[in-house]
Amino acid sequence: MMLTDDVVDCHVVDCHVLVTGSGGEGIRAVIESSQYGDTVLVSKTIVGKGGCTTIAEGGYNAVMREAGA
Amino acid sequence: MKGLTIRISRFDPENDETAHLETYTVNVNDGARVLHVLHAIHDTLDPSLSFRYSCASGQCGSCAVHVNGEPVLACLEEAKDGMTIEPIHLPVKKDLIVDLLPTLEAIAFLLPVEDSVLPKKSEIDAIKPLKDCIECLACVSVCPAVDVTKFLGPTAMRQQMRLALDPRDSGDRIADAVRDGLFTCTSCQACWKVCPKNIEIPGKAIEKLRAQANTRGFTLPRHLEVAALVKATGRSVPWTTETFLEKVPDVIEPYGPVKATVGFFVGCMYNLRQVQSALDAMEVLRRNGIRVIIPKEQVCCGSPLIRTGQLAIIETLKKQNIETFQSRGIDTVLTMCAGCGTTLKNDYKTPFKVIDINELLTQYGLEPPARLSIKATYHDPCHLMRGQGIRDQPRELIRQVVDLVEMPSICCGSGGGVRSGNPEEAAALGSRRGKEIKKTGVDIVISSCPFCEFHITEHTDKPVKNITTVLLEGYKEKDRQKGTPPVT
Ligand code: SF4
Ligand code: SF4
Ligand code: FES
Repeated sequence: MMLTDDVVDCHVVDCHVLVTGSGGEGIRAVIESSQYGDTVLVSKTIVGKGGCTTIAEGGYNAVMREAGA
Repeated sequence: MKGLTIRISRFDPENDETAHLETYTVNVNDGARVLHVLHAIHDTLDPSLSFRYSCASGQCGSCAVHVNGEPVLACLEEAKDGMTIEPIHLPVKKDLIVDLLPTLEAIAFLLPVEDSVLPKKSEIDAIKPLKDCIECLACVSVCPAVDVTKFLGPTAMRQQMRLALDPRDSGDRIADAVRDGLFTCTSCQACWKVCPKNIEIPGKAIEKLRAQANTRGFTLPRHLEVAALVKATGRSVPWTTETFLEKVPDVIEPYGPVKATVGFFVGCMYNLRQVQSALDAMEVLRRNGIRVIIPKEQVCCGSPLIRTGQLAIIETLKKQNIETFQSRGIDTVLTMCAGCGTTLKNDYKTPFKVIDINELLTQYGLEPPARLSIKATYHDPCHLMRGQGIRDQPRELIRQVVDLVEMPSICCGSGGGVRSGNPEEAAALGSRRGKEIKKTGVDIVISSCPFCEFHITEHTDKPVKNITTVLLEGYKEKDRQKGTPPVT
């Protein structure tokens, strides 16, 4: 996995899956999809700082059963 | 809605050599935050403006910028007309976006112990004041030690102490903190005064880590020497000439009616090294109706030991000082050393009130001195401005006697045991101060702390004087103009 914090270079990147958002959900999606194809994650801040996950004070919503998905 | 005109630092590495300020006028709602202004500019005037944010609610630490030179969170700080917005002091990538990654990566992770157990309530309580960091790096932006050494910075130290308190962590946090610059902190207090989460890093992390480092044998040799001197003599400065306490009587009566009576805590530096400054202060107090009681059994306040983590004899020093003043029925103790003042106010629990000389003289009203036809700048001692919140009072006094030219308030590098323990760092910070003094074009430098006065003297060709010395010069000039013979 390549991590950049590049705000300057604009370049075109091809991918199979584009994930937006670097909260827990986005990161989990990237981990999964990167096993199957080229994946790019776009985040408006540094990965790990953004999203609601880092600021959630202990509460998470998660799908527990197939039927809930 | 209201219109605001603000300036923003712009820098595009592809086209610019250096950053420059651009002025924008935008309309925002009443109560708008700095972040709203940045959005308004980005959306209506210049889509190329780059800034970082995420939560917009003070929780993620993405958006720290300098507003009028002070770091703030853009999403929480209210936008004001005329403000200047700049990036925090880290390498700038574009406009307000800085390179946070190297500093964030220096913040240690927990290394789990095998078979870990949950922390006890007491351990959680100890960790609490250190755990709320949102990694905004405002503290790093203002840390003088980061500027001139390889110190990893205040929040990296905060995290080491936080982990040192956690039974689930297996790392050697003390050794790591020493390696990462624990002894470069000048104890200037700048980091926690700008921290949006109010995390008291110097007192709750750095001094605590230094205390643990002391039990592990990491204390710097020069700091050990100071501790040995205090233990042997009750003073942190060696005896050379006649001391202030030897020169003065037990009570100094004012010339006129008594406005107030105080006990005077002189401190090691004014007692042994800058004796004349303390004598000048006594003369100023005499002219201003202050009766001064000077108990001779007072000893070092312990500041040089507390700041360097050497706590073995602290309680003995505190007890002796408190009893000395208490036994004379003194209800107000006067300090003129910024370091002693902050220590008595913040590290002691005193049964008496502690007041700094700048507070005292402004509170009771100063006999007007004559004006001296010189220009002066004022160096804010960290332990006066941040340690005791005294910023306006010295300026009020100075303006009565000379013209004051301001310079930015930054640490001179003499505190926290850095002058003795890391002389190269102290010299680098001192010479930075010297450059600021030069820019002001003044005749003299005024301060109100013996450590700052002593240290800055080595880094400027201008005379560095204690505030009371300059006031006394104003009184002597007044007497000369009136033809009154000087009091000796
Ligand atoms: S007290 Fe001053 S020198 Fe020490 S970590 Fe904080 S900002 Fe840096
Ligand atoms: S300690 Fe305070 S100022 Fe420093 S990074 Fe954490 S929240 Fe920001
Ligand atoms: S945007 Fe998250 S703290 Fe300001």
